[in-house]
Amino acid sequence: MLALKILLGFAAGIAFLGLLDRFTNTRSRRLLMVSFTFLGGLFYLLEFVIPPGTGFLGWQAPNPARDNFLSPLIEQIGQVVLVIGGFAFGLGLLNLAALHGRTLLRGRPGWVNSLAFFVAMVGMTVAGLFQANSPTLRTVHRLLFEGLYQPLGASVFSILAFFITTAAYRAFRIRSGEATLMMAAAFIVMMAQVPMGMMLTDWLPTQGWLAYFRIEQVSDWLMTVLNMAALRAVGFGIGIGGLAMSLRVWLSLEKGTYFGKEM
Amino acid sequence: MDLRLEHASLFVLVLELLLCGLILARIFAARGGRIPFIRRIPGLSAIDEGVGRATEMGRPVLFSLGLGGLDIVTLQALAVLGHVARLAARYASRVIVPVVDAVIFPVTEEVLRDAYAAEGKPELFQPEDVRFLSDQQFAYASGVMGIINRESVASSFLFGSFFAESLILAEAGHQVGAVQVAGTPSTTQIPFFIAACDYTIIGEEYYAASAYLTQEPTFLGSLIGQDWGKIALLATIVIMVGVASLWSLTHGGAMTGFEEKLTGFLQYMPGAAAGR
Repeated sequence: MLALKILLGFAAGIAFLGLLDRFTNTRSRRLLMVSFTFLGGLFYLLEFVIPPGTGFLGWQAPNPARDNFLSPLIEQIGQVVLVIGGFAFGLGLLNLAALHGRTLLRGRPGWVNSLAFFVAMVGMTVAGLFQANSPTLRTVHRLLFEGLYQPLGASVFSILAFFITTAAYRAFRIRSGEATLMMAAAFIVMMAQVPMGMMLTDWLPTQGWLAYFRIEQVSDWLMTVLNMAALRAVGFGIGIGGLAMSLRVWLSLEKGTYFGKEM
Repeated sequence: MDLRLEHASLFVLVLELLLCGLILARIFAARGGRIPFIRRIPGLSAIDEGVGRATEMGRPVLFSLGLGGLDIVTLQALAVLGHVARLAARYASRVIVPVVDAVIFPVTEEVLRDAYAAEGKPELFQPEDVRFLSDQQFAYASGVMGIINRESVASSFLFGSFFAESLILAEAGHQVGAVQVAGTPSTTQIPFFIAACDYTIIGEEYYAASAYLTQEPTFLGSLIGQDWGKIALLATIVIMVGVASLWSLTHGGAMTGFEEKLTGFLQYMPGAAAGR
């Protein structure tokens, strides 16, 4: 029954998109997109600014102390994104299959990787879908996921340790006044993280004005005063920038997602 | 303490209206002909150099959109991609875009297709240059590393939301000698990009990209509106520091009761009993 509903929903979606494509021109399609964008944005804006407990024509939220009358719809509206994602996921898979299929059929360099892609995709799909009915497939799934996929992910993550070292070496080479300052700050913060570093200023008292010169105190000051002030300034800029961009998208003040002449 | 994070308090509402009003006012002023001047941003100027370099070397350009979904950050990255793609189309170069999110995939394809068509060279667009790799972080990172190495990209542009994979991508680009420009609002990843890339676009510069690259009045006006918004926020901070100092002076150097009064004010909302 559920499968039938999904199929019907999928067919209805395709039919709706087909009708839109058939019976609308560029101008009306744009009008449709602008209207949907505006209405979607308006819903979230109103849900945010209307005080909790507010009802509309007898329509109340289940929890008036926390929600307004629009709050219960948040989840349903959010599911639209999931549905669109569901359509798009197939496109992603098709793209992968087309790309690797071409490489494989034409015998291009690296065709072995494409073959590995198909073997992995089919193997993982079969093992994942039917593992509940077969102990062998369960073992295969475990082998592929826990024995292959997870260690591979961890291996890529572990490369970071080496990359951090090489990047830090290049960044901290003392070539200018700024690099020297950065090197000094990094040295203090790093030394304050290890017992050996803290031993360097262990002889300073823990009370009184001299305590401010203990390496952990200097490191703390660097992180919570200098660093935090800069981060908050960056955060303000990013926040307002995001707000401006959202406003432009919501009101369709710019053309699509790429550059062109504004509308 | 209930700070009503799920709904706007009166203070938040006023602040949002003020910021939106400032931004919209400047946008419409710019559209009306009052075009402002904006300073040069070296990282964004380097984008043109990066595409030019790729053309001279006969190698492709790599553009990563990061790990974000279809949100504001990725939309801004797509806007920069549109500019890069148009430059690449003009010089008959390739742009390879590895994608992490299946929803972003068709949008990215459309952006690239439109950019090549806008430059009058739709035949140069190769659909296989937009590649959905994986929706898993490190699978995507290793896929991008592979592309960077196999294709020996001449330039690498990293724009969008990045996490732990940022340095992996940037170092892979550095190893093949690519010119790298990165831009992200993810503050935790900015240090990695600064260490590994040639140019890094930080903070609001990320959202200034569209204004700088297109010089369109809407974007320029929006940018000036953002600056006015920052001035308004700065003024609010200065005023609040002044009020707190005054409170301290009038209460014998103590801040007792100030926080309660302030949060009470911030929580105030017509119709809501709590927080008054």
